[in-house]
Amino acid sequence: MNNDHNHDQNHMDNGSHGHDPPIKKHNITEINKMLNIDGKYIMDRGSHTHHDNLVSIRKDEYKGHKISITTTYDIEVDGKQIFPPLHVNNNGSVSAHIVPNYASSSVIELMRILIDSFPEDFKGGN
Amino acid sequence: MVVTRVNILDNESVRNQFIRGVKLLKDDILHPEWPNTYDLLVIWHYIAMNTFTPASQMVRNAAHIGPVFLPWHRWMLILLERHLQRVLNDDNFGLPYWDWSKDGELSPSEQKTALLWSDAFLGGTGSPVTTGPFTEGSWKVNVAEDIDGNLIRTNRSLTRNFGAIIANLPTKAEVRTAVDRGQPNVVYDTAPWDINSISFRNELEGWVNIPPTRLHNAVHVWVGGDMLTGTSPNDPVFYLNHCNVDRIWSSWTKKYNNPEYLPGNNESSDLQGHRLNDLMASITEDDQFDPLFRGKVSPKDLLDPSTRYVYDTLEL
Ligand SMILES: [Cu+2]
Repeated sequence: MNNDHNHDQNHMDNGSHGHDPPIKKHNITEINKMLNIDGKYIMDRGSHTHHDNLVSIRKDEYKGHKISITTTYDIEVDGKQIFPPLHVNNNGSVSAHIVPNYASSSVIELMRILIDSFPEDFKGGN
Repeated sequence: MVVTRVNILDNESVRNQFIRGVKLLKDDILHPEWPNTYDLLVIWHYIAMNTFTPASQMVRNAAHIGPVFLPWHRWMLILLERHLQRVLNDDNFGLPYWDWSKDGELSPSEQKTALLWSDAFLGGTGSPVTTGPFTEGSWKVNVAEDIDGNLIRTNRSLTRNFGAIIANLPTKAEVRTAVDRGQPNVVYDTAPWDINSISFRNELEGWVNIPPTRLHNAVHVWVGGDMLTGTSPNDPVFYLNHCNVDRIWSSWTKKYNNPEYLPGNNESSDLQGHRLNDLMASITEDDQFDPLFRGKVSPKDLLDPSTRYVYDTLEL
């Protein structure tokens, strides 16, 4: 391995706040190797679990009152539970960062778009 | 050298150079253990999009749904332009843009068969795409995202699905509304600095008054297929869209006489990566990939790009 190119990293470390969580460093050689050997590069998402994906919390303040609204989804496709990272926006629309340019008032519509967008994950069907 | 970025419909030689150039980048390897330079740009976009800022939430990321959206993509375009100049051996080459709001004035069926999608330009819709320069055999999608948000190795053709999710591209009127957003208090971005902000950045990105999805976002969604996920730069039309987004930002900047970029560095560290002097999310410090900044650049460094490029027109 060529060490000259092993210092690749994400530069997010310019803040003056020492308590900031460390940002995962990425190494192109490593990413390329994992793609070639495992066919996959898994992003480290810290403490997020699959189930966290289905829970969305909205917070607001109104006339000095603190509002918190938690929405939890339970989604199956072809009888199999799936865990798309859903987020309810303040206006009630729902988005998922894996289709980063989209928000819908209907989770059904969003699911149709996920099925279209991730052919590798939804094989079969017609 | 200051290059001029032009409308892809107006300049045949720039259009042909763009198509030839992105193909050359698919065969361009900067280091033996690296993917090709085109795919590396795709991977960089994916990584930035999946780097959440802060890490405790999954909405605002290091390149989208936050203030850095515009400068981060400006950086990406500057690097693409530089690499295209290199492989084309033409320091005068400036990126072309696609003024999608002009097509947005056409009927839904005319939009799908507009000039941009003809054989000599980018080819048409389909899963896979079967016309134009990016069909099976001449263009491969090598990396994609899966539903768990991981980056996966693929070996397939490009996909598009014009108008399937939304029927219309954004219109001229929508662009003007975005540019007029905030008058008389013109504001680049504002709290909560995310998908809920009422600001120019959030309007142009396409999150204000959703659904339906709007402006920059609507272009991704209208094209569909590979343009829908975090690896959307797999479709070269990604860059034509973003070049027009950058042009609209330039037009807004000029119209209001250089409004302040916000947030400044006095704002919360939750906004790290988005503040004026923060370093933006890079993928490498390698000077062959980034001869201009070596991976270290802040929004403030890119607010005035006029020493690098200008647009043929800022008319919207
Ligand atoms: Cu992007």
